[in-house]
Amino acid sequence: MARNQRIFYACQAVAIQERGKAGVDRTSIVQGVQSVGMSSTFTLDQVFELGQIEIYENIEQIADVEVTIEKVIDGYKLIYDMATAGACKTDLVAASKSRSDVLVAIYDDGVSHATGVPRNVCYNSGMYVSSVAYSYSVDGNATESVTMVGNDRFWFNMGQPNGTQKSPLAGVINVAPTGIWSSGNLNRNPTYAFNSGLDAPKSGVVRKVNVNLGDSKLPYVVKSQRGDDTAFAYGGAHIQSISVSTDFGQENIEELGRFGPYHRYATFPIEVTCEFEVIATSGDLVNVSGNAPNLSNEEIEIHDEAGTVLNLGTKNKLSSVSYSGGDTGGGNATITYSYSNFNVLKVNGGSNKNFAPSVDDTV
Amino acid sequence: MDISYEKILYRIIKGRLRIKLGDLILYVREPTEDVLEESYEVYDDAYHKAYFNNLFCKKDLKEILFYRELWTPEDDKQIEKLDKQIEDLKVEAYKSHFDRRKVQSIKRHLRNFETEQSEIRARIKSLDHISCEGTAEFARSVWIVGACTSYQDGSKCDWTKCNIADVMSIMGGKNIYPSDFRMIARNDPWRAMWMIGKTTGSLLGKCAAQFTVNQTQLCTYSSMYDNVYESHERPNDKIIEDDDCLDGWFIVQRRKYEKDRKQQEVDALTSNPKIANSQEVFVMASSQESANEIYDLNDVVGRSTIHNRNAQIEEAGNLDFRKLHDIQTDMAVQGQQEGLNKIRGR
Repeated sequence: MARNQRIFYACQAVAIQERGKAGVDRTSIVQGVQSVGMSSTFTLDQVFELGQIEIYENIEQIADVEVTIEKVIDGYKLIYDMATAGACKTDLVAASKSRSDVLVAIYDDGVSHATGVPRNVCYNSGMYVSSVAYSYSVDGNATESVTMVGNDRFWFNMGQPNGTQKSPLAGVINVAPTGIWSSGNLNRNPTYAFNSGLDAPKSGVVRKVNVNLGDSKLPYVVKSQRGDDTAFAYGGAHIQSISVSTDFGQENIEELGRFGPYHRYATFPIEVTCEFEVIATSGDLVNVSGNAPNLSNEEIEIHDEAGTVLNLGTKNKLSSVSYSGGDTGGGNATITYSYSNFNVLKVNGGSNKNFAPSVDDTV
Repeated sequence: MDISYEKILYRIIKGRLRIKLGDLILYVREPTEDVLEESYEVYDDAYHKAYFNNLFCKKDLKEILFYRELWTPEDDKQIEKLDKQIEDLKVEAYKSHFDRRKVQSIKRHLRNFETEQSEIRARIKSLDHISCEGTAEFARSVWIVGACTSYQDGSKCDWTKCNIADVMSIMGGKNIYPSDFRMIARNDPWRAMWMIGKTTGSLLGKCAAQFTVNQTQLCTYSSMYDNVYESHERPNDKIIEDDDCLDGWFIVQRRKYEKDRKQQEVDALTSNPKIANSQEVFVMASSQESANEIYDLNDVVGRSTIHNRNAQIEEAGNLDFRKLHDIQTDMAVQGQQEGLNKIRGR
């Protein structure tokens, strides 16, 4: 459903946890979150009958809910890792099947005190990962953006015992938790540390300097755009940005006798794309011959100093090259190399062990 | 322009008020910067004296006002409410400026609201004179009038021969109101003087720092009218000549500007198009202050939706998002629209 009105909420914390797990502990909190977007789409089906102008029945189909979370890469657990319970380290097939609960806690909007206890929690149940994107650029923080899709969303008021103790969803959704957000002790709820000012990035937020090109495995043509500075990997590869993304295209499988889908499946093959934007030093260096194949398989693996490793396997092929800039306006010429593979993306790195000191730990 | 306004204009230009006390003619000049500078010392002395005589400080007065039933917290809320109502009525006056009858009716309401507001404010200030600040301010005013009053020949007034309270009472009855300033600022002869003064670079024959309070205020209003005349959305002359309608125009412009500013702030929040185009955007807040700033990004409809949602969730304890009133309204609208499209498509 396309609604024009955008609503802005002040978000206190985001948690991703195992489906149906009761309460939220600190390791479920996503660190370094920048913003979250949520949307819902309803499908309505109208039935009319002969002899009546009024609608006969307006039938509501299953609603799709979508949550997109963006965080900076900072050494803490990645969203993709949390959303797939670690399956992202194995392969895309396992990751596409994983389900998790996403909880977004929001601040009160009227009072002038911050108690650390969220006013409401938006609980998205049984979410599948729908798309993943990583971005490293010279002019900003390295970010991870993950979109999850599902069919269940509930709002909880944390001031009421229902929201914390009981299982209000039992019988409403398939895998209902026995409590939401807090295990009951509101003084030590998982967001307490956020309000204490003690929270800090584990490895430092990854910026341009923290991209580890030395350990990364880059396509030959990207490495060829080298400079002559021997102190840097590939003589300084002049890379301006790297982005890795994939879309699982999760689709519902329905069955008779059930309102919601009984499963969602990723539409394999899943294309994984990787783009490198490079300052041109000597053209795009891509030879094209009409007499023989031009492309070869390339291995791509991106490393950063926060421990993140994006492994795109060894069968990446160049899908497009674009050359832009270098005009009379004085801008630099840049080349964008787009590589793609199918079904290979392993993501490692980030940990929620050894959290930053929190008030919880010291109380 | 009415002759009474010309009289006020030349009083402002000359920077003095001519007062008749029987046969005696006195001039009360606007205080110079020397007088003003010294007057604060008078204020400080009077304040200390009042303080050591155990007079109340202004901040302590609220309690006394409350016990004497002169003020309640409701009064503050009422003032805010009246402010909002006055603002809305002015916007309505601006939008209905072509309908004189409606504007007259709005103006009657406006004057009633303004009277009600000033009555509440007068009650809140009714005990100011027994506070240290009130006493000190009064002493300062008396001192300024004393220092600035002279006879026709320029010699200082002998206060043994006339009563300063009489002079102050006459002055009180000759206050210049904002409506007077505005009338003078947008009409000749002052408007012509202002325009010439701006081009020649000399206005009132002195630098801005030496302007009297009234002169400064007149120049501020003149500058305000310059901005209105030069605006690319300049209102018509009828609106400019009507203070309430013009205030309405200002409010509309301010609201437009605030909306644009909020939109820019919102756009700057996230570069991720998926999040930026979401129906609900959650921005991380580290404190209640930053949370309030984020909530301020919402327009009136957004705030009202959040408020209604909170009330509904609070009442229910937990709620399927499809049961939220705003979602149900959206679904109903969507259903109607799709139904209509289906019929049209047949």
